[in-house]
Amino acid sequence: MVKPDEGKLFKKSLTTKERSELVFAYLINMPTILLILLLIGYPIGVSLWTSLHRYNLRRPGQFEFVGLGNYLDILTSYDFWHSIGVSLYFTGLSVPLIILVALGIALLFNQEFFGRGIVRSMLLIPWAIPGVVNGLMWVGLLGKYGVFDKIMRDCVNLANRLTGLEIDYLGMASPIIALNAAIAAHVWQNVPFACIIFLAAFQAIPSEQYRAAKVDGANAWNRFFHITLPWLLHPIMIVAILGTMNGFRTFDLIFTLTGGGPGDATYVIAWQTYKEAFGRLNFGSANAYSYLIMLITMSLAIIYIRLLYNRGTVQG
Amino acid sequence: MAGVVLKHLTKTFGDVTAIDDLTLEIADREFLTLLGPSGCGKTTTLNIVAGLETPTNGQVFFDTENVTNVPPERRDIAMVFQTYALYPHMKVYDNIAFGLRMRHLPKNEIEHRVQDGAKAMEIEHLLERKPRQLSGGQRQRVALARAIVRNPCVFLLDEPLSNLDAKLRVTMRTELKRLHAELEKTFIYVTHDQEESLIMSDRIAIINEGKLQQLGTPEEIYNQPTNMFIAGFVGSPPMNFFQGKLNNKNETWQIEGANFVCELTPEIADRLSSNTPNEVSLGIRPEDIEVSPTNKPTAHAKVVVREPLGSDLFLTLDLSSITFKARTRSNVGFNRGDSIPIYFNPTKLHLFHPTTGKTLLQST
Amino acid sequence: MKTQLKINNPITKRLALYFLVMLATLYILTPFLWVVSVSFMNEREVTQMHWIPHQPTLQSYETYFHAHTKNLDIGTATARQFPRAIINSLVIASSVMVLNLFFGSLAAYALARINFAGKLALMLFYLCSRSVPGIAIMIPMYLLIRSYGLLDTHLAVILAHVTFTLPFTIWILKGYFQTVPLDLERAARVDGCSQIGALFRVFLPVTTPGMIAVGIFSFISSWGEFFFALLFTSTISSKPVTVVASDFAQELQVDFTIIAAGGVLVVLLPIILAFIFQRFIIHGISGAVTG
Repeated sequence: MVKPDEGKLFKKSLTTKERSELVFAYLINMPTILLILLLIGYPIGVSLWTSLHRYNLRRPGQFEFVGLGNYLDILTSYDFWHSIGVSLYFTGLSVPLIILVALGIALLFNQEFFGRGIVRSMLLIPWAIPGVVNGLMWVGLLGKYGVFDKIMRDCVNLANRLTGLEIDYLGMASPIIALNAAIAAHVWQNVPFACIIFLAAFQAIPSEQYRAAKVDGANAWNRFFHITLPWLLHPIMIVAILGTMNGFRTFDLIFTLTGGGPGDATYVIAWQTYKEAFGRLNFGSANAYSYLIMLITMSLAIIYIRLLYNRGTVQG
Repeated sequence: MAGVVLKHLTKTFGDVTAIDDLTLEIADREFLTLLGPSGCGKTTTLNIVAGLETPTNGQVFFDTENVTNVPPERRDIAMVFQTYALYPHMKVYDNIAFGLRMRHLPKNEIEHRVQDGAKAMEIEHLLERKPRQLSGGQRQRVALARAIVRNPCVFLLDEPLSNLDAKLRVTMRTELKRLHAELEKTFIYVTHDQEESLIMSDRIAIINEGKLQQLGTPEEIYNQPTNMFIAGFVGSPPMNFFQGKLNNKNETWQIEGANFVCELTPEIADRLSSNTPNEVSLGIRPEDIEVSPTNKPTAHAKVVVREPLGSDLFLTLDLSSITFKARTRSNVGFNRGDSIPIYFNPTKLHLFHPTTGKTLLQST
Repeated sequence: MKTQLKINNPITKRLALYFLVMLATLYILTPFLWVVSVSFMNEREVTQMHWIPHQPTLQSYETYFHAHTKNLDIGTATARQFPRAIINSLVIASSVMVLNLFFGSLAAYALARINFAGKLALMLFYLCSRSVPGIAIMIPMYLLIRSYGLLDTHLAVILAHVTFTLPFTIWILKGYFQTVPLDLERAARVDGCSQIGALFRVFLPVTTPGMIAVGIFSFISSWGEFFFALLFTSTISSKPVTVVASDFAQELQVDFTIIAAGGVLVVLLPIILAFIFQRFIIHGISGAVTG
């Protein structure tokens, strides 16, 4: 069948119709293009430029070119690597958890049962909750009068009694607990959205494949492994990409839940950058931070997208 | 009112040539079908006549007016799409009235026409419904009503029956033919279904790979196809082809095939040109192969498959590893494995050039 | 002979299913339901760690809307900013939604329907802008907004939000627009519409479900955004509700009942919207993922 050529920048000849279409297309894209260039493109450039200078808002007169000085300082600083570590732990634990839990719940909600529709609508609630509110919510849950705090204490007491140890439950004052609590809050908020994606993927699987498999003698586990899972690869990748990007960008939650603490236990890279910029007012260095983070996240995005498009989808 | 003339139409999409130098004259009030396999360019041609696409080269005329660069909304046409393209967000009434509203006709005139059109298509009871509540056949009627009420000079129909079930398709063919006779307008009809085209058309334009193959009445196309493609495309089951040598023995021309010899009638022999090659492709339709003939048989063939179809019986026969089909009226006998005599009707032979596929018989 | 494995008993399977579903539902809802519950308690009940208020009261909510309150001073300053903050959020989120719909649909239409030179490059451009994290450009953007004197205005936040939601909107709409059959616009043109006419009379009405999904999406995203809202606003004249709510994080002594009530107020609108338009949202997400 005939295939129109798409996107060729220099065609041999454009009919008048095609030329007017080109003008029309760019005209209605102009506002978006301008907005993005102005508010994203330009700042990216300025960000790079500023990151090559020493510029602290406390001494606004000084704007000294230091080349890669800022970058070197950052790359040799404890703060940077610490925050990278925190973010890696945070994201590295969150993403698989999100995928697993969401997959499990999606499998469950894909079955036929009374009230399925209502239960599915519930999935939208955590998604509609802003990150800051999520943080405040978990502050309450794990705080002095929070029910989860009580549950944790009871569990620890029980464990103490059973094993004879004397673990003291410090709650959010403990770095380990704070970090993992942040993960728990983050996972809780992001699971439902991933769930919706997986449920949508389930709907897309043609039921004939299951019927054919049953006729061929496959049991439930086989059917899951050989039919469901391949179809899920694509959405899982999507959830993984989105989850990773969100994980490294997490800020709202940290702001309200831990404020980076206790100490610097939950200093994720976004928080570290924020502190650098608006705490120490070290704009030059903060820009370098931002740039580094952008490079990291964009390379991750590229890796993921490569994987996604190389694998292709089951549908073709 | 409006005959349509296409002059040297060419349409390319990048490297692909969809239509190649197509010249065609469609008479006013004619039912002309553009027939061809998928991807041959017939829908593109129709879109160009509609103004939905502009040709790379060439021109379109409605009567004497050059409409090549006139946008579709200003051509006096109506179109019925394969997918019906009913506006899902409007009721059936509004769907039909839409074109009239766009042309700013007065309200009672619109009401009048819509009711008439609905009555003609027997859908008055559906006017308040939305398209998604209708069956395929009903949607098609709405699409037709929408076209009729516009009262255009030219009706364009793009495979309107292909999404209907078989029985409905047969009914609608007759419907459309009747409609054409009543409205007395030009119909340009696109289809890949050769049976449809034979039944409905005044003339058929066969297109393949963007080129016009033959233009003629259904009888002409069927009985005097000008090349092997047409011969094989039109007619169901398709024409059988055999390779053979052209000999002249004792003043009579004959075709000598792998396992048969077939004499040519003088009428056919006269039509052979002087530079006819020795090797020919012989074409003969299944209904022109007599089974258990009264005359001396051309050959004996073995029955491979028998397909009874009501009053007809189709036999797939094997003659020295060449399979072909014959049609007979008889319902009994001829079991698989039987060797039966067959006779090629000499007045119904078609001869083609073995490489170019063009007919070797000059037209009468 | 023992009866067959109880595990395969359909009734057992059914029970197990319902049990698991209940667990999953609890997992999804408990944190939020607890907060809602606490918002109706008085302080004493909270310390008693009840799950459900035995004596439900609206006093926590009152702190937000009454000029004077018999409650403690701590936290009331923040609480009293809520009504204004909600209005700010409404203004911002609605504007973001409208701008997204208008510019997004135009851009998506061009990408979906027209083959023009540089189309692929443009799509890539949008895709890349989607992957830029906010932190990377926060300082230059801050300085830019400051230099235009737009700090502490609705406009600044709106611009930032639109910039970040547009590429996503265009991506979703483009995919959605491509599912609309070409024949519909063709039929409209043959019926007498110009190209623009076909766009407005046939195409756009047909795409309403997708537009609703995108509209709600951008509204809720904007409502819940915090980072740039924090960056660009300083006074209550423009602070949206997310920023005001975050003040509670600094005020450690506030009764959680008040915070809980505040939280409920913040999420009330997005949740209601999500419920009303859930069909569209889920449809939109499904389409974008599987299409």
